Amino acid sequence: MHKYELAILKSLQSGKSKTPEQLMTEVSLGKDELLWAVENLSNISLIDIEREKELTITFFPEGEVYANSLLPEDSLLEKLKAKQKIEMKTLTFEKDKIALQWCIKKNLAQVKDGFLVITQLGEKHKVPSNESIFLNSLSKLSSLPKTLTSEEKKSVDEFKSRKLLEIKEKNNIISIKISKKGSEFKDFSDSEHIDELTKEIILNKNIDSLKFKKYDVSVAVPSEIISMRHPLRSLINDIKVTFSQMGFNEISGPIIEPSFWVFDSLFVPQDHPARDTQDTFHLSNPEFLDIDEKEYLKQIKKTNIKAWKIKWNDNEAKSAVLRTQLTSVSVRYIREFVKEFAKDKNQLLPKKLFTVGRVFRNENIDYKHLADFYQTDGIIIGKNLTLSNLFDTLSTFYKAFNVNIRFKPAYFPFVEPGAEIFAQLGEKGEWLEIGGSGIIRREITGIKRKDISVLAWGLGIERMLLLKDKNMKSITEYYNSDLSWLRSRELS
Amino acid sequence: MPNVIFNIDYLLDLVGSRLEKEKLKDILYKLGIEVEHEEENSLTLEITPNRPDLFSVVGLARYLKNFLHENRNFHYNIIKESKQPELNLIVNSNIKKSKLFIHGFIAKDIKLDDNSLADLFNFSEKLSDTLGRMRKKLSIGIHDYDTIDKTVEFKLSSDKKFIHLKGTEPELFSEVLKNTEKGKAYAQALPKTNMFPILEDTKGVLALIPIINSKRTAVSKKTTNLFVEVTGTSEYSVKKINEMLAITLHELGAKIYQINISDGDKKYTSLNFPENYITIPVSQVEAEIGIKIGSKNIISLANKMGYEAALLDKKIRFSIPAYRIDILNEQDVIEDIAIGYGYDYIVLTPVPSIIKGKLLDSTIIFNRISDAFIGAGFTESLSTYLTNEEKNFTKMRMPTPNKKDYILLKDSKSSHITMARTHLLPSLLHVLSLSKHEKLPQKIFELDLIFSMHKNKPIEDYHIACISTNNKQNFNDIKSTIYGILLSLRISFSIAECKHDSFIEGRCASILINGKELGVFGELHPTVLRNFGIEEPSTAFELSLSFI
Repeated sequence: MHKYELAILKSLQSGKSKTPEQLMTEVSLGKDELLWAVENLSNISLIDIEREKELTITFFPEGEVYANSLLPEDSLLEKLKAKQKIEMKTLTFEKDKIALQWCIKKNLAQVKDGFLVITQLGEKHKVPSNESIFLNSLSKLSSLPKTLTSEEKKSVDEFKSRKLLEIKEKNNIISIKISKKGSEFKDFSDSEHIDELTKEIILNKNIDSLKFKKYDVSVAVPSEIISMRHPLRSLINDIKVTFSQMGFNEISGPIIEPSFWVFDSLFVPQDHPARDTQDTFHLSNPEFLDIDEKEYLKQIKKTNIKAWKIKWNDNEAKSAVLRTQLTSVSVRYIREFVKEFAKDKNQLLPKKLFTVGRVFRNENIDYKHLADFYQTDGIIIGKNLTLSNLFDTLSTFYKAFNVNIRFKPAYFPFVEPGAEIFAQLGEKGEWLEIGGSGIIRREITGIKRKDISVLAWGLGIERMLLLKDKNMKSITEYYNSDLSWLRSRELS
Repeated sequence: MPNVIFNIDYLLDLVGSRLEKEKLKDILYKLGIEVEHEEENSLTLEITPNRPDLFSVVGLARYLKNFLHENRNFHYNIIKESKQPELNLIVNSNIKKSKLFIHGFIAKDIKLDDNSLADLFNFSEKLSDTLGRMRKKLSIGIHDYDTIDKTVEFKLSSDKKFIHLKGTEPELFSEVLKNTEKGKAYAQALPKTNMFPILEDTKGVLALIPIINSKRTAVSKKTTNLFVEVTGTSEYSVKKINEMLAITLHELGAKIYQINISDGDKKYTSLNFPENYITIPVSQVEAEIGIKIGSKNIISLANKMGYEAALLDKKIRFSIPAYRIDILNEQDVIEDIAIGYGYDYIVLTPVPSIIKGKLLDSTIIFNRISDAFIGAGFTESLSTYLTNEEKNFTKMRMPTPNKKDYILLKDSKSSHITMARTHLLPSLLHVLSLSKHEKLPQKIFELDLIFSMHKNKPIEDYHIACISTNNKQNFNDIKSTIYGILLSLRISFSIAECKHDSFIEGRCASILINGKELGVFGELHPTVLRNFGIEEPSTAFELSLSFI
């Protein structure tokens, strides 16, 4: 037993209950030491403690600012009441965004044609509001009053969820008394038990005769924070390892491409709506990119004109975009293969290649939608390849992730036959589309030999997360997540 | 992808088989048609854009009838001979300026009801919206044949009045464009001339193309004889869609008649249905699917998928139906055979591996670098590549460079996404700005791509960056971390004093590798911290991995 604990026990032997302040002077201990020792003694039931609950308030800096002025929605509403409407473009500061969010949430204002306008509820809402006044009065208190109206309780909950302040329950000790077990305690010689092991003890003392103070193994301690990989990155690594175990070589390619590699070479006609800025990110710098493969350009141009009966526009092919799928990388490698094959017909076949990377869609970003996400794309170039081979390769890949798949006929302009891949959510869950696949059209590969063909697929990686992470609310949580999210991931 | 609503009762009436709804859905899945939405008596189906023939109930019924072996019919020799030409369509020479082509036909003795009339209108709307690219490339008009003369002219006209389909009083074309729903929706599809393409007979205007028909020629349930015209900028599509519509109306019970078209010296009749065959060796069909099917089975699968097929000396000759505008070569036919066989029944055969797979060197090295940061207590973060100038430059105390120096997006739908990031630190600072209430120390890193321009060419470069936020820390702490990590990775480097807008002057250093300045580390400037709402001192590091 620690010497502080022994001193406290001794001073309580009389049986009289004492306040912590009395004990501090009697055994001459600081507050922290005393409370530590008292808790220890209470844990082993040598003393009885009487406590009183207190709810302490701690303000966060953001809350303090509001307490000294107004809640942000009140400030914004005040302005709005004066001006009637505010142009949305002008609300760019972080604090404006917060205010805006709360005004809309509380239905005090709404957005109309790019302007923020006040609602009926907003008109009635007085500034400063009861909440603002209440927040100000709280900032002057150290603990929460025992009686609160239901409205005030609701406000406290809101302040907590907005992280303006923190309410902590504190159990203050008001009196301490020896217990029955404590009054029977005799062994005051326990002071020889060792608390902390030191270098000096290890080197100099007779270790066999030592006694160590016991720890209560059930006492709660904070968990240490573990640094870890991002779960999406772990999944990507698993995917890469799985493909390489299946005999695939990893490849990579550019994100910023002329439309040629993203659309024309994949047989997406030049007037197809998917190419519009509505769906695809075009760039204003660089606006156009050169297509270095002049021969291939000629071939693809001819093929597209023939199949789609369209007028070809060179600038449309050169228009720089952020790739919308990864097959652009595969097509570049098929092109390399065709050139090498023309020189050396004894290439080792099949060639199995895969790539992982990000693709982009011009989306309205919100809590459910992102503009960039990951895909993995793969191809097999080989002799006498079949649809059966394609289905087997993908089934084998997904088996490594315990995912059951099924194929549905589907249309992608650059493959024929084409198949969509569906995975089952859970044992009997719904079937979810997770990717597309097929045998690439000869017009695109430009491989003359009829016995050599190319199997290809593109798979969504975020969709695989959905199959793995049952708690996932939305894919957006995997990007730009806060530290508390990053720290609470499972290691996998 | 086009969504089309199908009335289940009407569909099954046309198929001639009372399928259970679940069975119907299962067959549709096997044919690659997804159910987008389902109601008691209707299905909204996603029809892939390569199969416009399935945009109509009649077309889907035809597909299902063949698939279910019900009353197959491969004969499209549907034209009724008439001694006198049914209708003469004169193409005025001024139409050349509009680059439009026209085809058409007459359908007689048809009995329309609510279902078939709705299907016919929906079908032509879907065709002109999707295949026709919102009527820019193709548009369809259906008229009451009994209200028009035997001679119709297709020409460019100056602005004049007619009573349009929904109108009551004569209105100018230019007014129709401004005042009607269709006018507003499709005015952009008009050819770029100041004249208007119209169809006209002696009684007046039949249609303002591709906008709206006249009231006079309006079609209702009572109409028994139809004049159908297809106009558009692609001669091929105009011809094929004309054929597709004729087949559809024929299947609804109409008698189909050709029309005469005279275009200057060129005189021709519409609807010729040229024979179209693709011949494929049995062995090639089997080789692409990967299963021994046999010629007899291939022929029966072909019939199931709507092709007439015949064996000609180890090869099969497939006759391509006129409504299948998607068939380009033998791969398309083989896909249909595979669908007929059923994707679910295709036995799996592995592709042999001849080599061991290999990861990119960069994958392996980047993983090693990430492991070193995790070992030093940093948690990995992952961010979007797209950002804006305020976050990427201004908040970092950096001037926004010339627009030629970074990747700039055009027409982004989100106002806060305007460019590709040029460095990683703002992404990490953003994460920390969301994490104010998390326990200290906060240590995160990111290894990923950044983008820039060099000599007018886009550059995609990998960077590694980390930030450590704690209530007490300084330049020497981050220096110690960086030395520990870089030395453990056997990266040889030197450091030099430097100035960087985002760091406190005199408390940052640049990292040089092979004599090139590739990185920076130090104490982040308090203004930067405040800009991101971070309240504790933070040290940071960023390095380009271009040397690997």
